[in-house]
Amino acid sequence: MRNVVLVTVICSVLVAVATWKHQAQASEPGSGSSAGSGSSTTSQPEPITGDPVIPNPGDETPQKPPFTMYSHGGSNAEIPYAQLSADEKAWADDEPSKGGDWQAINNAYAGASRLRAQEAGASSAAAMLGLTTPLGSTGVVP
Amino acid sequence: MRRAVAIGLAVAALGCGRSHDGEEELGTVAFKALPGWQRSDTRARNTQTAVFTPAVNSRKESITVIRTELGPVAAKYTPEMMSSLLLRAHSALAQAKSTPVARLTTAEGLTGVRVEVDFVPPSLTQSYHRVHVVLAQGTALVHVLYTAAAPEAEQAMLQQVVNTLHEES
Repeated sequence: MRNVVLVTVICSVLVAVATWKHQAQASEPGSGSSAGSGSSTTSQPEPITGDPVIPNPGDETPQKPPFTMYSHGGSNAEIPYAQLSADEKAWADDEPSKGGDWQAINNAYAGASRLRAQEAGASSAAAMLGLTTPLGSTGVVP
Repeated sequence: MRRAVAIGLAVAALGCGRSHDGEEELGTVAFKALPGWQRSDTRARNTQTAVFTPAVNSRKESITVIRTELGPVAAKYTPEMMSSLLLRAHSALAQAKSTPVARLTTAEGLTGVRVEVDFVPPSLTQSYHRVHVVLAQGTALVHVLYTAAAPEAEQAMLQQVVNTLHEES
């Protein structure tokens, strides 16, 4: 009885393998049996009859190099000094004292950075002492 | 089950610390109660805080007691290190003026450091005075802060807390 079952299982496996192999051969591209069947999974060039459609050739936007500055609009966007009004010329001539005092600006940023560093150091020291609430408001009765 | 939950809650409440027998408890430390002062507690992961304020508070004063568990690293906290950290921690307060840090040993034998600071709290314009005492207690630090807009000259309540602070038996 066991032999009969074993032979039946082996035969079934052989039949299954033979069927699968036949189907695999039939689906290969270029094989005579699959021509026109549309069952191929390999990419085929799409058949088109005309040129590829580009609505407005030349309007494509190329990717901007990330480290270059944006255009200010080209030469048409420039305003020559000669075209400035008297007030604008006066402002441009006096620029260092009207917003362009870079020494003062840099000093302000340096001061703010020093303050932030001091706050970070104080916060770190408080954390090392196990204080979890801000010392400035701890126990303060307004 | 209900009994177990009730016992658990009671133990947790005891752990947070309250007053009994004329003493205030906070974690594993206790100190003499402040008569007429109200207490409010907060608790973070390793830190227990009790803030005491008088019922009538014209001086805008408070005493904050913080017990914070540091673990084995607390053994490295020398008085010099605590002094340096304490000064640095107060350095970023607005218009801060600190006295030199002084070492102290309490009546109960705890050692630590003390500093006094005048500063302006955030979003306020009035100057406040603070006395900050840090005491070492095994693997924990105990902070006692007296903060007031019009500080009491004697700072009697602060002295009482610091001098009676002891490890609970």
